[in-house]
Amino acid sequence: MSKSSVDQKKGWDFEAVAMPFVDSLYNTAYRMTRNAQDAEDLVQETYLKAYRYYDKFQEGTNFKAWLFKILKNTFINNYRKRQQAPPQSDFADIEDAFENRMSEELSAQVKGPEEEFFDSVLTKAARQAIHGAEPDGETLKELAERNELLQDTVLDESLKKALDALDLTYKLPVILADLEGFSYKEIAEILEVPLGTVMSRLYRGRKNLEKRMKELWEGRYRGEGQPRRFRSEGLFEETDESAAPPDQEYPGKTSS
Amino acid sequence: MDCKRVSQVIFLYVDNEMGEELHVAFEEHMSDCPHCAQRIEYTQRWLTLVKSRCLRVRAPESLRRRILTSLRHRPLDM
Repeated sequence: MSKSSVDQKKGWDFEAVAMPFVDSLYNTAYRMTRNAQDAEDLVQETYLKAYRYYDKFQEGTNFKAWLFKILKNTFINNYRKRQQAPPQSDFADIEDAFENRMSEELSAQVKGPEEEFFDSVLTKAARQAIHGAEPDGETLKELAERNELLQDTVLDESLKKALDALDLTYKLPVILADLEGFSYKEIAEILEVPLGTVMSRLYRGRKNLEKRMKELWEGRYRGEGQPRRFRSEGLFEETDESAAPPDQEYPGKTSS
Repeated sequence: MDCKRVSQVIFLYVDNEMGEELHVAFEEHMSDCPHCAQRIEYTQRWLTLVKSRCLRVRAPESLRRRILTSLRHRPLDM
């Protein structure tokens, strides 16, 4: 076989195995970059890198996890370059910048009355349903029980908002486990951290997610759309944050 | 195994990531402790909610095209 036909075959092989993962990579990239254009660029760059290193990929190992590892590292490297910061393997520095951006966005939202904040969470249909709410106020949950349309909408919106608000350090394990279906071992491989770290970050990420959703879900509404905080019952149980497992311990499966 | 330990490792169980020994101890505790049994059921329900309701989108068709184009027209030294 000539060099160019070997090369061509490699190209076809790679396309066949790699292209099915575009949606998965794009969704994750979007949740990392929080910007559609950056997400597309990141995914394209990931594919080019993966092609370049395809010879190094070990047949029989997890190709999807390998692609995601490249995605993660490309994201971190690009960020480092832009910030001109020294190389690191974790999200710590990126976190600070994201947190600053996040808190700017949040404070922009809550500068006005609380109503503005909830408006950003709710769709038009949900808002209409809320404006028809009882004058002495109901929880979103109670409203949802009265109005089926509202329940789905508000639940989806609060889930979306709550996930988006998570720090990358905790958001990424949740995305990998719950949206992409990776095992703990695969997540450890992608993030290049110990299994114990995966376990504790997943724990904290999911607990934070639950807590934020609970806060949104439990906002109480009066007809004029002024939410107040109220104690929970029903959809969410009391959170027990003291139960977070320590980083070092991993009492899980030791075989794959 | 006590209730606090159950709390710590509950996701391992629900994610099916628990080693054999721990799994046995965990299920033993669960059969005697309705509080923990309820927490496990809640956790499973909660995770199912997150997994099924998180929005996932299709990547834009233009992105697929871009990727294929850049792969097929990559520099020769790649």
